[in-house]
Amino acid sequence: MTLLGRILSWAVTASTMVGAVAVILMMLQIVADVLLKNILSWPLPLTSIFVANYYMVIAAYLPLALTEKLARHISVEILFRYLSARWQRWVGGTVCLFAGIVAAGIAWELWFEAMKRARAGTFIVEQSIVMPIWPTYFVLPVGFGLLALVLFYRFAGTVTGLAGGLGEVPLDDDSIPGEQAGDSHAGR
Amino acid sequence: AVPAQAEELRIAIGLTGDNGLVRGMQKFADNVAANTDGAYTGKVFPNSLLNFAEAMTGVRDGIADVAFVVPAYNRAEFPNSNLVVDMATASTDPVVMTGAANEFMFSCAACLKEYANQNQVFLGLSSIGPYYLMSKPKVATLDDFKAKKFRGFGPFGRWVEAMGATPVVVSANDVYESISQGQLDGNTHTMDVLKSLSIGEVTDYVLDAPIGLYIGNSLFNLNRDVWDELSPEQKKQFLLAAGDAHGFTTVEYLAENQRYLKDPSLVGVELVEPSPEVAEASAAFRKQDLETVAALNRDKYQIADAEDQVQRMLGLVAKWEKLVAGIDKSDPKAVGELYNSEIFSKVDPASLD
Amino acid sequence: MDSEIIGLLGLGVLVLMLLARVPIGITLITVSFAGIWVLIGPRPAWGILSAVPYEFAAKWTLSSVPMFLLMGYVCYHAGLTQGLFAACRSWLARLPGGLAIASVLGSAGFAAVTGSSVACAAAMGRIAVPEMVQKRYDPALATGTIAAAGTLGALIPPSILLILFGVFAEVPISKLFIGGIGAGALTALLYIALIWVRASLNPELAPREPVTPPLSERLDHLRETWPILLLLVVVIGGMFIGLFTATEAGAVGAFASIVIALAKRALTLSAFWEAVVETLTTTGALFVIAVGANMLTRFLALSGSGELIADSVVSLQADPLLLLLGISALYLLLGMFLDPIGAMLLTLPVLLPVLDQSGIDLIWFGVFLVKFLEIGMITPPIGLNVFVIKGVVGNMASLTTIFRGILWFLAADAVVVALLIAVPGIITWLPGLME
Ligand code: NA
Ligand code: NA
Repeated sequence: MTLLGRILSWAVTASTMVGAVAVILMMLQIVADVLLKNILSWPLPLTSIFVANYYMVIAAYLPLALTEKLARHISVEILFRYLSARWQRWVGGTVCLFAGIVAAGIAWELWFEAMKRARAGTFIVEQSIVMPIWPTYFVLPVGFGLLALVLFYRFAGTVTGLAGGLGEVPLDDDSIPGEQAGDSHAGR
Repeated sequence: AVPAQAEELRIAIGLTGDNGLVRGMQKFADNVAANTDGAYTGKVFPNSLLNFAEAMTGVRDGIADVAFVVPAYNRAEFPNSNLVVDMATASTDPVVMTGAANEFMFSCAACLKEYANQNQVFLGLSSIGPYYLMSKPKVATLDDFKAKKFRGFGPFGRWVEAMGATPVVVSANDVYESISQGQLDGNTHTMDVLKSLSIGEVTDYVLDAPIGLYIGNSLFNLNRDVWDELSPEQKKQFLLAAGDAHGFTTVEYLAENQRYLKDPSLVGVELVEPSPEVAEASAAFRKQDLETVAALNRDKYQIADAEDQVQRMLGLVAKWEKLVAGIDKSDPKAVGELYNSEIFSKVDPASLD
Repeated sequence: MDSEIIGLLGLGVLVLMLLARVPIGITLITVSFAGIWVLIGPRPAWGILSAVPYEFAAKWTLSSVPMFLLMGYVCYHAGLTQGLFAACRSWLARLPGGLAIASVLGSAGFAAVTGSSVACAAAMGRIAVPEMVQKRYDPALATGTIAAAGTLGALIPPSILLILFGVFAEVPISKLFIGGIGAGALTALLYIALIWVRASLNPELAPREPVTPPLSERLDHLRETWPILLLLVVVIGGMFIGLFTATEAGAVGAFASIVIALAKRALTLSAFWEAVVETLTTTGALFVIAVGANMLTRFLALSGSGELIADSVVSLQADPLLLLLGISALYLLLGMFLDPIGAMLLTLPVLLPVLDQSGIDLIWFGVFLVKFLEIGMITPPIGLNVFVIKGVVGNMASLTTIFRGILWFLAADAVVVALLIAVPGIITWLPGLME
């Protein structure tokens, strides 16, 4: 369990790194595009494709597992908080299993879609430049797949009661969004 | 026989509002119901079921039974079908172009196969336009183009460049903002976006020099599994329903745009007469661009006989100019009948199987 | 079974799953997927699932979401807003409730560089609440002020909620942003008036500062506000003179905030990493819900139950004012329990057709809706801003104390909402000038 957790933690960290790079590149490329447009009247070619089809897809879906690990997915807390600790564990575990199955199903379907796109070699043409975008279709199955793994791991943790090496934020954690700048981030 | 229960087709378009294209989808639904004696009816989903980017896979997977597909969004899947889309400058008359382009497409086996590969059946296209330059500053002479930035993609971007301005690719949704903030000086598009995208609020002039047409509107792509269930007679009737609806859409859309051209104050702009040298440069570009298109398709998209295809299409445009001259081209019914008698009635449904 | 019934059943299952604490995004996706399967079969259901996530995220306009998030988190982690509060404090110290008024103004300033109200409440809470408690302010007033003033974060542009509304309702985001200014300014103004009146009537709530800081000190503090002011000049000025669009403003703002923070030597590597990680987790949480809401729209369209609900709502309440009151009640209720992004994305698929038919101005409505969602951030029992403040202050104040302090601000919000309905120009006047 601990070893599994460590491996998973490593994968989540790696996906976070890629996501971070995408966010930073998105910022730099838009700023460069704005500068070049205004100074040289020369918009940076392919900016909209890179931003929309590359950086956005990565930034939106690769961090799904990190978001789960830090317990930052949004759910409705009306009833849950009134359950006893024991019930919270069981309901929380079942929900994790269920959500994990859904995420795995999504990853499964999106994998086939990505393969279809790769075979077709999907691209976009901008100002007569042909830009392939099929590789980014693989971001989605990876993002949802990792999310499924983290959810299954959480489920296993609640059922066995074993602590693992993932370093995830517990489900019943009361800490505050925007205030979770703790040391547990990204398995460091 | 047991009377078959009416099957309601889900018809998707990535647009909403009262415009010629949305009405064209409804027209197809009505035609299908009439032609099949109610065995098939249709319900139009205006931008609530599939957007343009999803339409191709959406009709493939049967989310919609019929969808308005834009092959230009899926160039990898539709290399051959996009050649005709590139020929925007071959004519400025949508009624002519819709006829020529459909005749071209239904005799292009490679094109039809591209649709079949995506589990759908091509039932014709409608061309819209022409595209015009709409701008904040007044543009009438070649000098006025200097140091200006206009939105334009594909052939329209090449036109902007040929006239001496800088083409910029901005998504249609960002145009309003870009012009209002002075980042763009104008846009190349059909007249109706002055109203539908509110571009008339941020521009003051339209240059009365038609650039070309947008040909890539595959309006009634039909899911292949639905097609396979149709009887041979029903297949013929679907084709005729489509032909008539293409006549309707092309004429309706054009009429709407002509209305704004006749009375530009309706959409808050003024029509500008181009200077002689602008008119000349634009005409020269329109001819030149067809060579560019042939070269592009040959070199970039590996269509070996691109030149021949361009020539064939030009021949069809000339043929259709004559055909259209013989009818009242502002009458959707007459135009639909011409499309049907010349093209859609002659298509062998088996060639689409 | 009628397809409308399947649609309504789907909505019922959706509520049950939410109550079982299934994450909102997973709930929306599951219900839409299963519903489409029942309505038209497995292949279209899988088809929607394979098409929507990619096409939804791969959008140029949505890139402003992570960019504005990054800008806010960088400002927060680098402490760029501290100077602003210090300056407001030193200039307003002598006013009745001066510290509280200063924190409302500080929040308004931070709101202009962040897209969410939680970030706004957290940033101001850290600085201002300990200060007020030390100056023997009533804890309820101190904490209530910050929790309420935090709601300016999503009202004053930039605003993640307004961006999402613009994308779903297909209205210009720049107009929504400009519209938010009026509503945000009115809210800030009423909050300040409220504090002023309460502190004047009952000086024990907020003991006056015995001495005014000397002018030289006040000028020094004024100079310390430069990071935020510079950022505002760059972002708003750049948009105004047309250097970039509202979509690009997020990236420019994030970049400028990093440059300023580096120039101030306020940005450590770990602070920057925190900002990026929070940007990523917030973006991830948001997109999975947005994709689910997008799928729910298709499910409701296919089933026809969306139209059914819209038709019956519109026919029931032909009077737009009654319709608005109904919508207000709905969001007040939802806001008590739901996160604002969830509440908005859950309801827009049903609500947008209703609005279309009723002829309500969508720019006005977008801002009005965000005002309500933000009120939900400070209503019991689930008020995210309140929890944020509680996290910041620890045992300085109980949750009950904070909610008690907020009650006054809720009264002010009621006045704001009434004014927004009575005088729609508060929102629509500025965007109207853009034409
Ligand atoms: Na804000
Ligand atoms: Na609440």
